[in-house]
Amino acid sequence: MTLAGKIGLAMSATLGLLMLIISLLPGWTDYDLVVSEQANLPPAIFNNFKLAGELAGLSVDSPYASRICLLGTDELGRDYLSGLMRASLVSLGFSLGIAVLSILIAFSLASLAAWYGGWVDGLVMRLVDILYAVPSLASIILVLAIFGAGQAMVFVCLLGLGWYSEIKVLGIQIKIEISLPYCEALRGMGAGLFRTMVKHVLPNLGSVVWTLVAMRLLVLVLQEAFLSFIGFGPSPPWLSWGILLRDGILSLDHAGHRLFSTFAVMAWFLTGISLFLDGLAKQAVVKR
Amino acid sequence: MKKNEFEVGKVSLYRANTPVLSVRGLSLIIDTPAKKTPRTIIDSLNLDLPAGSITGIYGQTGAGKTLLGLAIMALLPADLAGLVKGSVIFEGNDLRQMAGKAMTNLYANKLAIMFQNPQASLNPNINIASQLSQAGRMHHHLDAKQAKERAVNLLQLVGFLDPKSSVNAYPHHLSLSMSQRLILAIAISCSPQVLIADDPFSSLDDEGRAHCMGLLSALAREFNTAVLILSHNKDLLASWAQKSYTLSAGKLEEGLSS
Repeated sequence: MTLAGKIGLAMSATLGLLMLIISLLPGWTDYDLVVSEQANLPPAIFNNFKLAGELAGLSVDSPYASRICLLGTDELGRDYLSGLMRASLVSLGFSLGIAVLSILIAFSLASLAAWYGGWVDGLVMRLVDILYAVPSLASIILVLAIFGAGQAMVFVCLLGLGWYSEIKVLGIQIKIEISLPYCEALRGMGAGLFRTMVKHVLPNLGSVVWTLVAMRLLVLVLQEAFLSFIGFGPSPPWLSWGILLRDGILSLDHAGHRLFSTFAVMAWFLTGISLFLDGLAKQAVVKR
Repeated sequence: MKKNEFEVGKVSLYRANTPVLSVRGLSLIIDTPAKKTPRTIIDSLNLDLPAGSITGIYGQTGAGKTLLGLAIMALLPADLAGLVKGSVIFEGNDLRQMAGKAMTNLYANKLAIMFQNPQASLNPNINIASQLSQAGRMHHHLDAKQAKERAVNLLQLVGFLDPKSSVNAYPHHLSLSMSQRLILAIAISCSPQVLIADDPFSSLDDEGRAHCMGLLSALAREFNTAVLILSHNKDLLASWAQKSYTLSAGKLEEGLSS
């Protein structure tokens, strides 16, 4: 893999590990615990890393009083770092999951269109044309307003917004690929649609597919953040980057570090993952 | 050549010199929008491919040899396939009427074709062992170990000097002549009953060509395979084919006239 790809992998892996530890392991997952006496603590670096309880004037043997809040606490006294990591898990999980799923759906439909051609091709491509013409973000907001927000609905809506957007690019790439002599030779060996596409065309288009996943991922992170920002994101106790960005802006006057730490974590993750996916794409380039 | 080097557990049903595949009244007329007159590629052509012998078809460049090969195998792209008339009888069935699983089960297994551009016919991203054992795994459900053993044997058979390490190589590691030999190995990997070779071994030197043609005639003899060679090399056909035809203006004439 390229050096940039390795750096990207290291960037995503270090923060990813921290994210998993903090947001999944019991003992660390104390974001749900509201301790109102500990509300709005500043980052630990500004008060010599004192225990949260000590700062709030609580007795040290009360639960959660004996911890250091590296990024301080929020309005309800919850540890902000735990919240940020949980939000990263949700936002990245959503975006990566939807990105991979979208590209898989797009690849399958593009394969059918390229393999059968004729009316199948026409049907798939005209469907995509119609979907392109629909003002997508507006219709998602409409759907969420009618059926209510919530993580499952957000997932469905974001998938609905993105599954078709790469079909045309993939369709053309697959058509070029299956017109190559090696695919003709495969046909002469009796290979069918599934074998040709999954074992031969998909690996050979690896660089295109990884690049598309990376591009979709970035778009999805923005879309999810936007939906959460305007109040249509996952609902509590779920968190997401969009929700934290909104809260960060609202508390900018007394706790600016929340917004900037959210920015920093987003930038770190997205840069890391983009570099890593770019490395995967470069590695998948076929020597011909 | 030992018989079991090819064998996957199949015995030829044909006796030598009985026709395995018969082409009857095959025509292919292509509309050419620019010239407005349809171009006749193949003109009601009849041909029998006898078991256990090599049949040669000579034709100049552009005579339609490749299209003829694809038309016989029913492998023309959909837009051209619709323009074909006539029938190709194999095992009592018309290949042109067959479809789906029945058809794909024949390819590589009973009907094999060697395409003319050896390097482009290989998937650049897949190692040689997998490409070579693909047909066997598809049609005979060989497990990975058997498949690899067979791949090594086949490579040795077609003249690879170090087959054990070559199976792990990729097509871009191979020279043109090695890929030509690999294409031959793939084509004979399931010991087919009919093998159509489109302009084979053109990039091999005389010695290599003689070796590969020797393999083809051994295949024909041992397994009663009907081999059809489409070539513009008269010498090759004169020295190896039992019967030769010349394709010109869509018609077949016996002998190697020009």
